[in-house]
Amino acid sequence: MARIGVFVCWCGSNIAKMVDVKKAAEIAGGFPNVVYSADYKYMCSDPGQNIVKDAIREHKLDRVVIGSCSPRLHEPTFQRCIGGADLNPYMVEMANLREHCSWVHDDREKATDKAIDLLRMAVAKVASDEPLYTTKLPLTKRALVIGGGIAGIQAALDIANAGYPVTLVERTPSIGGHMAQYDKTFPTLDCAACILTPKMVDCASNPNIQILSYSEVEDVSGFVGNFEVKIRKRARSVNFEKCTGCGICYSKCPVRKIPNEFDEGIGDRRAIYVPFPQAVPNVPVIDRENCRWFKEEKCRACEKLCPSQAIEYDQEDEILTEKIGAIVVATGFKTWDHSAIGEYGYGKYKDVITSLQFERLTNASGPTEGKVARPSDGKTPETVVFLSCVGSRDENHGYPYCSKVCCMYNAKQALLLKDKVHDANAYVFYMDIRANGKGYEEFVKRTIEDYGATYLRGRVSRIFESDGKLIVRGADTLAGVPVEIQADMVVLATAMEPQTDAKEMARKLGVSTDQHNWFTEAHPKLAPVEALTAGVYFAGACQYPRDIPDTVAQASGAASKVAVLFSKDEITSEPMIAYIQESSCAGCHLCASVCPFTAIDMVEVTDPRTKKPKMVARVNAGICHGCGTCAAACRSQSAKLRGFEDTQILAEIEALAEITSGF
Amino acid sequence: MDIQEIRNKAKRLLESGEVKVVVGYERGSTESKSTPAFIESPDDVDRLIWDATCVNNLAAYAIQEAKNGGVAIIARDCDARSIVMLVQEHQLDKDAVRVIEVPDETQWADDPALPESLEERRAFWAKEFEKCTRCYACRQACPGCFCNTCFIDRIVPRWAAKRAGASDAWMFHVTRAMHQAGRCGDCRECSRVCPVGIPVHLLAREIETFVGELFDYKAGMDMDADPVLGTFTPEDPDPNEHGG
Repeated sequence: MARIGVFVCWCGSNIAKMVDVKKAAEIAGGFPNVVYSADYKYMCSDPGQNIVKDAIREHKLDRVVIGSCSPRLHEPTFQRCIGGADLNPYMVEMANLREHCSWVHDDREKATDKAIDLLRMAVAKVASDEPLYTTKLPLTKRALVIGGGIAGIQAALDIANAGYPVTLVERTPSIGGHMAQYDKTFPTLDCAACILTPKMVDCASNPNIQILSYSEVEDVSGFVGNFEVKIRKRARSVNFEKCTGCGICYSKCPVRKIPNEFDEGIGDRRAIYVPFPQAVPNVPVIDRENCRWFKEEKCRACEKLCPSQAIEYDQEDEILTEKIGAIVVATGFKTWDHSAIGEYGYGKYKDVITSLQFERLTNASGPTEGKVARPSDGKTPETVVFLSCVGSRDENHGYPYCSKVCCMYNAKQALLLKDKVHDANAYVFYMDIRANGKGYEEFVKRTIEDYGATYLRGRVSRIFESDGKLIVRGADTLAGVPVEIQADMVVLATAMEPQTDAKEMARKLGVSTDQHNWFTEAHPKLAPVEALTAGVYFAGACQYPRDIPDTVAQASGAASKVAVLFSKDEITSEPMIAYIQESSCAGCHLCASVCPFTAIDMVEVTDPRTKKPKMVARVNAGICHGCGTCAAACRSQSAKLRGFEDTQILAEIEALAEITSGF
Repeated sequence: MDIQEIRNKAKRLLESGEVKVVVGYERGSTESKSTPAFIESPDDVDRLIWDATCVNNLAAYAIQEAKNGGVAIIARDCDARSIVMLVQEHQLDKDAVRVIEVPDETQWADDPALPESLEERRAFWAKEFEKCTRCYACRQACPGCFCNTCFIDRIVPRWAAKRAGASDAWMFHVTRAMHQAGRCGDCRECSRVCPVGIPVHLLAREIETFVGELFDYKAGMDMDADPVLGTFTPEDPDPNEHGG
């Protein structure tokens, strides 16, 4: 016979003000198999937990019901509590008297009746609870970081410095990401390269970090601690070991005038190239689409000139398979294509550029060596108009969300313009100025007051050319007047959006994305760096628009999650997960197709009845989260959930209905 | 359809070794009956018949037969839908099954008209289920009922009493109908085999109507399609907006 203890918590006044806790505890004391009941002001507190532990010992309780808050909050607390009194931690049931009762009702008498019903159900369920045990799974202590921008670099460095090996995969020829393109960074105006490139070098020289640039993740299988990752190492056409990075190849390559992706198309590169001089690794790649040898079987100039015989035209893509324990996704963002807003003259006017192009224009290592020169004729612009929210906060053309960083880089770019071209006019059209970071508000103020940028609250309706000027027509909604500015250059703060293949990456990783394709975290507040898939973490702007400080902080957060995971020698799997009764499983795959975590595989077993092979579902304990979707879907009831067996749920329902048919 | 055509097809399939068995119909215990025939030799194809007495859906036999090698099934359109469903649900290997298509010339009995109002419908089914002896003939004949253990036969938990009774019959028939959602090809075997004449197929048919309206899906039409209840897209309708 079970010996059950019921403990009713007041939760201060949270429960007690709407539920007669004394009456509830007293009535619960008379339920079947209940040998002890008590109430206390804070059951989760140290003295409260001691009441539970003492009663377990004194009254020889073998299972416990706690009437308090949501199990989401304190089930682990009470599992530890009864574990401390030598009970199996899974012999406790929580009756949620707060969220499901006191907080949502205003009739004390009825709320008390409901609380008693909830306790009755929990007592019925706990009576059929069985001890559950965690299992140990192996763990590979190597991390994969996908994306070599500042997020991936920071995460890789932190994990490596914690003592664990890291594979850093970057799909472009160099790590560095967007940050490498930037000129100065707000609000302190450090030069991006000055603070980023040393970290890039640290990555390259850290013995724990393996950089795979010009490479992409092809496939991910397995589960936390035990992922198997296939990585496509694209053919660089240059031998990594032999190349010394002297640069003769790209200085002599005859194929010029290829728009450089790194310069956002306003600078050129050759067919063999490094994207920028500080590239890590400093090993060029041959762009086979433009290389004369690959197109016309002519030239081979780089091969002839290379002093170390490093050119290898016949290289092929390689597929590497790595065993990985944890994955940090740091795939970043791209900028929105503003051609959707035809009124801004995309493609028509050369001097309408994006903010990212402006970064390259003011960058000392950019195509103009930092001289602010407009693309059409190379003249120094006298009047520059900056437009905020191009595609952000714009449900008609772009996205409903705020891209978060544009207000700040608008201010920075206006300031840099005034700094470089003292008598230039900087106009900023804005909707609201969002400057909520350390030193941000002060920075914007400095741009306006010390540098004299003109801020106009309103949208621009149209940009057109007239007499060699760009006419920017908009409204100053604060003054309530239409505005027309004759500009030499217009800079569009285009929205941040997810990478084009974010959805595809999410599918490979088994993680989810939101309606815009940003990766979805496990909990927006309490698990902001974790994916719902165990062992996968997010860093930086692949999850949502972020600036550099937030990105670095999140990357370090993700890295510390990896370090915590790797600090143990094994993985402990939760016991409240699904399992399959193989004898009755008909192998219809329904459970596998509804599983949101891809935790169910189909395996071949020998049918004990027919002695013939048959396919059955099998739950991977490392991946299963215990959501129960499979158990709900299975028609033959072969998929079951430990801790939530049909008999246990039915016991609750019967207790609620006060029937005793005895299923 | 000419019976010789069917026999020739069966013969070719057996002779070429493409299939090990052809499941069709042969003459039953009386002239007015047919019975399923399992033809394993090309010499036996003349046993096959095709006339108005051939009404069984033979798809349910395919699962067992396909385990021993290729199987060909003589199937009307609705029976072929069962076969497609079985392939979709991994009970049949696409490559192990051949369909010998035959036109649907079945003399279907008229369906009883279901009352409009929910109360009257409830009364209609209550009356029907009063008759049910829970012989499970409907389940045994149904190609969709391929579970190794039917929920109704489970002892822990026991969903219905052993005795026959209307409320336990409700439990069985309504759950079984729910289990056919998005899977029923409307072959009506369940009603045909019912010894007490319950129009069981109307339950699943009603559910198929909902599935069609909600998900634009018809059961057993595409071997490569995922079963409708095994997939989710954000565009799926919210059940709360469709009367729950």
